[in-house]
Amino acid sequence: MAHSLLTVLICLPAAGALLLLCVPKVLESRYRWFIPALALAVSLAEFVFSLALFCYFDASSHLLQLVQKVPWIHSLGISYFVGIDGISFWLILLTTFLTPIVILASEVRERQKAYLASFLVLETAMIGTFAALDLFLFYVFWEMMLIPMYFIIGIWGSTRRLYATIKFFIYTLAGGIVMLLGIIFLMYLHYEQFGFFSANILDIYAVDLPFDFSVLSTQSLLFLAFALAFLIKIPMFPFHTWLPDAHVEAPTGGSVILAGVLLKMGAYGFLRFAMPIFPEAFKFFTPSLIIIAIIGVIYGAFLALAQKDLKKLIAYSSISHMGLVMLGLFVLNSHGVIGSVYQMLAHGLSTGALFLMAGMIYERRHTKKISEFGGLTAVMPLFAVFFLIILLASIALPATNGFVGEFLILVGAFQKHPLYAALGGTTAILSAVYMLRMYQKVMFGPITREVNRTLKDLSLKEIAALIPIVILIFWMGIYPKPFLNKMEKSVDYFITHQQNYELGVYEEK
Amino acid sequence: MTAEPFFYLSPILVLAFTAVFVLLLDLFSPGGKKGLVSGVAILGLVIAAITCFRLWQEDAAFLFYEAIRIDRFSIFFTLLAAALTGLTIFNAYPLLREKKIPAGEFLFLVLACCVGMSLMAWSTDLITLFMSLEIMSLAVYILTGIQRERITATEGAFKYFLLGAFSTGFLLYGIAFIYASAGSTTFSEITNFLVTSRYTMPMIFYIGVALLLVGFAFKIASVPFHMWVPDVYEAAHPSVTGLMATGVKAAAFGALIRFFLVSIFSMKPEWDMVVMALSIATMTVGNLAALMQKNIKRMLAYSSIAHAGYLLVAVAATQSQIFNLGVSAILFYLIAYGLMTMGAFSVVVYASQKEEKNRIADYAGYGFSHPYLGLAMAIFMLSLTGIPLTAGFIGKFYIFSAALKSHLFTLALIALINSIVAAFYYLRVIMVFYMKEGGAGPIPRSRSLITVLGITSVGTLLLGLFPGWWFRIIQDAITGLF
Repeated sequence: MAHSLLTVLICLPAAGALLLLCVPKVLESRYRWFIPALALAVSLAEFVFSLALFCYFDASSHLLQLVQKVPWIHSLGISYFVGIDGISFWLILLTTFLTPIVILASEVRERQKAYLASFLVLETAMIGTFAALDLFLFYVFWEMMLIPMYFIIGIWGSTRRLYATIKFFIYTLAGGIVMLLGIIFLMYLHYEQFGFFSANILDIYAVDLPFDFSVLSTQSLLFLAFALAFLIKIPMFPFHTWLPDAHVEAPTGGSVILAGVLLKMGAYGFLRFAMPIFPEAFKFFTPSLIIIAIIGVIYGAFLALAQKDLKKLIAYSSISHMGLVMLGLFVLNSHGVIGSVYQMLAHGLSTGALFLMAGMIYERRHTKKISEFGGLTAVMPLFAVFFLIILLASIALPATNGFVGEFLILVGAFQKHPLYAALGGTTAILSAVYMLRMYQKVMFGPITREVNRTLKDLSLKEIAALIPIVILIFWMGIYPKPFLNKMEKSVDYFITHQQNYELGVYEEK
Repeated sequence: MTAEPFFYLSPILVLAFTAVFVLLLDLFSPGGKKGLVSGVAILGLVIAAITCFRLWQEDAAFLFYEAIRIDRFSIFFTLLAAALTGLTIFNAYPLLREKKIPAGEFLFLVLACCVGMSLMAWSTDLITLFMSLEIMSLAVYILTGIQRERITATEGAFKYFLLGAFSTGFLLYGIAFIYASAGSTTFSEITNFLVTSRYTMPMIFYIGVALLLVGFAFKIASVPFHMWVPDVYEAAHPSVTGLMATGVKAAAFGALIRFFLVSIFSMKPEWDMVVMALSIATMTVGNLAALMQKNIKRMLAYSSIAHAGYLLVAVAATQSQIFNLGVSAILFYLIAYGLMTMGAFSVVVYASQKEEKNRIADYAGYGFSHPYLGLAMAIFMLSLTGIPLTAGFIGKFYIFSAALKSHLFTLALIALINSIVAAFYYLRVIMVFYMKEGGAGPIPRSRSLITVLGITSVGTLLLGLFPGWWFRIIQDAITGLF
């Protein structure tokens, strides 16, 4: 049976964006709350719909579920083909969960309509990317994400926004186009071997790619073409330079989505495409990939140590954390991969929330310099509490979600080689150093600036945006089982069958 | 003489008749309504299109001792030319109505140009090809300088004419050489000549083909024959430039396919390298030069050069096993490129209604002060960059497919690097539109320009979303070639 739930999820935000843009000016100027309320309603409706995934998703199967397939460009075998497994299931929920929070917390007043519409379009693209099972469709959504993000950073960003947004766009586009060449070549190879064109991922898994243990063999080159796009997106050392710029210049909402969801696309790309399609090439490159992942972990953490800007610090910390996620993925054992997927969700929540809170403090003081603050605990006790909880989740304190993911990853890394775990484990120490030092400088000590005495504590709206995240942080930290349950089968299949991956489509009983 | 030639020639006859009729109509109504005259011209284009649809079902036929060939391929190009001409007339309508340029002459020249463009794709004889090229070119030379009071326009027209005449000289010289060796100017005879004297090919035949290629390279604005492009594009009124950038280029590619990819296809290995070199130079020079431009017309001029380079990639990639894919990539790209470039020039026309807006910086803040204009420009720029869901992306996708399929990896890689470079300057336009502060005064609303912008932007998106339908038409058109 063809399910259209995913299609609804993909189309609803875009339709909402259109609706938003059609709101007449009169209504907009008379009722100022109308536009944000409408956007929030759309995104909440989207979230409720996405919860329906729980009813339809069968966690006891690793197969692709809720599949829908409609031919699109027939002559090239391109189709609109969507479906999810236990991994994309959670990533879609992460997206639908974070978007309403971003919209709720948005403080943008200027050109608000376009701003909120951009986020809804972005949501469509993100869900599409996680649900796409056709390489061409995946690429379409992948690039579609760029456009709203380009506008979000470029229009509503801070002073150096133009530089940052073009850097972001060009970096991602460069990776994307290389991947496009890879996609075309895969389709062509499929045609050569099977006599018909297909961009369907299930068909592509079956393509036999020549490999002879060198960098120049077909499979290696194709793997590198895909890997480049994903490495840039994650971003991994040495392709990470666009990220701090984009984060610092982006408005709060943009940073939250960028850190919370967009960075996960690269890791997801490895999971769904690069690793299963090119198993031998992946094996061949594993050592080098693990090395750059570990460099990312340590280098990102050291850079974070040196930052004077709040947002930059969080940006570098997320490079470090994403390095750890990739380490878990690349060691390719059950602990590592499941920890890595779990850490993606955890990182999405905690770093998203960190950016949210950095934005809140920026709204009050219009600066992100750490040295401008000090002693805020006395003025903003509520803020201090929330900030501490989220910060501790980010440095993976036990009982928070960060701990579960990080622990599993390190166990996985240890099984591969104790050295990997030792090096990857430095993140636990280093992140504690830079995060707690930052917290100490911002929150404790005497109040050094007079302006800071009058800062308002969190408003009800801001608390409403943070509470759901905090609940999830503890839930995922204390009782991770329901979350792990859903992804277990898919991850297991991924690990056991990575060398001969052939996902089927789930048949409803 | 039976009625049959008239039936086959009906699109051309209708176009030519309308051209003359419009000229006379304007003559007899000197102070009259220019809207009526333009309406008649549009009506003529519509009738020509209808005759085209009737011919679509007919079998291919040669006329006048193989001087022209009527098949789906030629009809495809006639429709493309008619559509682009129609958009040009809509684009120029505000000018015509305010009598800033003489309506009768303008419409006559545009329609004559349309006849020339159509005939280029119809010709299966080098002499017909030359004649139709001249009909088209002469009309465009005059159109460039039709705003006589602007000194730059006159200068541009003169420059275009001189260089154009020069290149036509090359073309004609090449034809002479080919005739001297093959003993005929019809394409089929030349093909036969290639078969029969494969191993005794005289040198002058090669020289002829090379000279012919130079002539074509000039018309499609390929490096190193591109020097005139930025100056002429800048000098002409943007509505005329739109036609020059899209229609003229499309027609030249139509003829190029007929001669180089069909008639002398068997000697493609010999000129393959030349086309590849041309395409690499064209893409790279076009894109790098476009990066430096501050004038939007010059930027679009260099961008059109770069796109000619992408099209040449597809020409180089067209090999016998993937003939269909290669040629359909070219045809699709021509439609896509026509829509988005015409649209981009139309935005310039729209903004320049009161006073000329030539610098890119003049457009600061337009995205929000004129939301629909900004949206349209954003669509065109994203399409020119090759972002998914637009026509430009599908076009590029097919060109890359063709290049990879014929194992031109280096060429594909260079095209890839180029399209990343191109993103810089297209995005800069969007950036100026949306992210720079600037005061944009009110612009008079022009319904005809809104029509053009609507058709081109919706068309760009439709082609990007549902390319399948167009591909079926293009496949049909290609079957007409043989």
